[in-house]
Order: sequence, then C-alpha cells, then structure tokens
Amino acid sequence: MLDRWPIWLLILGIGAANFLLRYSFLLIFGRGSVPEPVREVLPFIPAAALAAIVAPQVFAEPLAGHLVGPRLLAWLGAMLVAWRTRNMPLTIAGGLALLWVLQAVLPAGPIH
Amino acid sequence: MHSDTLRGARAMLPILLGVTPIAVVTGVAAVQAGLTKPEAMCSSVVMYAAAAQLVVYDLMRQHADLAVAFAASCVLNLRFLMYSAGVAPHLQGRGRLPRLLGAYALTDQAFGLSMVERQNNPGGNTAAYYLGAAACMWVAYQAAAAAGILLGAGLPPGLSMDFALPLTFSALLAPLLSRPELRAAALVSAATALSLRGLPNNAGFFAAALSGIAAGVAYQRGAARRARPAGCAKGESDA
Repeated sequence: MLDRWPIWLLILGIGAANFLLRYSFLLIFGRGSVPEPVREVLPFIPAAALAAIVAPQVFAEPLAGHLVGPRLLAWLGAMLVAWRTRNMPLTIAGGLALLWVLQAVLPAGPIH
Repeated sequence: MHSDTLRGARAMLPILLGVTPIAVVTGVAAVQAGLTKPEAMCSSVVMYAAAAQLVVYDLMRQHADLAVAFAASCVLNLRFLMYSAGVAPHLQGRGRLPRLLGAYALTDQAFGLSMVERQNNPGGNTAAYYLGAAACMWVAYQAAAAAGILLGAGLPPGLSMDFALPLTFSALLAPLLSRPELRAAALVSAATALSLRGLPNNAGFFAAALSGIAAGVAYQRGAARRARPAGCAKGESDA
C-alpha cells in the first residue's frame, strides 16, 4: 500500500478541492456574491477545457504524419451519430465499435 | 419523505439517461488507469465529478505528474463556483447537514433542475426538491460507476478504451457549440492545444483553456458592443 499513497493524496486532494468549490457560496452566503469578472469568465470554462482535451487526442494521427488514421475516422463517425441521434450512449459505443473495426481493417500507421 | 424531495428525485430520472453512460465510462477508465476496484470506487465517491475524473484517470494512465492532474481537475471544476452561488439561496437557513450534503452532491444536473423549480414554484420547498434531485443523481451515478468498474476489470487489454474520453467529451461539447461565443472559445482552445501539444506538464492544455476563455470573453464583449445601439433603445422603452 505504501507506493499507493501519492494516488490517494491526489484523490483526496481533488475531493477536498471539489468540495470547497461546491461549498464556497453556501459558506459565505450573505457575505458575498460571485465578482463580475469571475461571472463573465466561468461560462466559457467547460467549452474551452473540453476542446483543449479533445483536439490533441482526435488529431494526433494527422499531426504524426498519418493522414487518415482509425481514431480520426472513428471520431468523425461518432460525431455523425451524435448529430443525427443526440444519443450519448450510442455515440460512445458507436465510436468505440467503429474504432475496433477500422483498426482491424486499415493498414497499420505510426499510431494506434 | 417530503413530497418535494420525491418530486425532485423524479424530475432527475429522465436526465439519468444521459448521465449514467458517462459514469460507466469513468468506472472503466479508473480501472484501466491502474486503480484497484476499491480504489476506483473510492475515487468515484470522493471526487464525484465525471469530467475531472476522466481527465485525472487519463493522466494517471500516462503517468503524468500528480500536480498536473490536480491542476487540470481544478480548471474543469471551477464551474462549481457558479453553481454554488446558484444553489446557495435554496439552502440558506437550513441546517449544517443539508448544506454539507447539498454542497457535496452539487452537479450540473441538480443545479439546473433546482433553478427551473425555483422559477416555476417560487413558494415551494426548493431545498427539499434540490436535495431529492441531487440524491437521486448520486445513487444512479455511483451505481453506474460500480458497473463500469466491474466491466473495466473484465475487459481484455488492447481495446483502446482510452478513446472513450474524447468521444464522451465531444458528446458533451457538441450542444455547447450552438452558441457562437462558446464556439469561438472552443475553436481557439482547440487550435492552441494542437499547436502546443508537445509542451511538458500538459502546459498546452492550460494555455489552450486560457486562450479559449479569453477568446470567448472577447467575442461576447464584441457582440455586446455591436448590439448596444439597438439594445439600449429597447431597454429604455421596456423600462
């Protein structure tokens, strides 16, 4: 267990930070409100953070010189499913299934 | 049980269709990142934030620095500040326990439902309604995460399950892109993340998130400035 303590530290640290963020205004209510500059910035965090995580993972293949890799194609297929059905489970399952098929069918590139 | 609590829980039920698949994905990702089943379950209960969990598990899988994982999760969870301010009026004047539990179980979905309830039923017991909705979400989320943990532990290696992360995040991102100011934020962020992706300590992620937020704010200010002449006249006639 000794070598697991950094992981537990991380989990507990994130849990504590999450709780403090969630509790913040319940604690100070009546003594403050969200400052205007913060209020202006917060709505953009999800869109910006999600895009920052998705883009490098989806476009890793073209950037590595493998123009149309299975991951990019599977992602495009999944986005088509998301657009047509707006169904989250179907999007995730469909994208994964498409990736497995493409990995089996397409010639091997530099990235899998 | 209070009838408002039950109403809140019932209102959450249809939303669970969209949430539980993500919880299953977090469970799979946790065990694929190398956590044992008890560790994975504890982390789900302690963190209870799907997007942050997915990113942290992905970084664990890549053996990233733990401080980086902590910072990345904080960026994703800053939105809880906004929700905290939103639900604070519902729970004002309640006991310490409901407020502690209400804070712990605060999610995008419970926040959203409580704001609608407050508007539709201003005289009602929004605290009971909110706590019912939040509790329903928590139970379903943890059950689905447990199912994902069992599923992930039974999956053979080599299935590229890490790909579920960009798929899930893309599905969460897609509806946001219908708003032009959020589209600007996402586009600039994605472009920055792609051009800086080689930097150490995921610096590209933090730079991308910052530049995306800045782009979104700039876009919105520009749009407000362009709309001002017409908006001003309308505002005056309304008042």
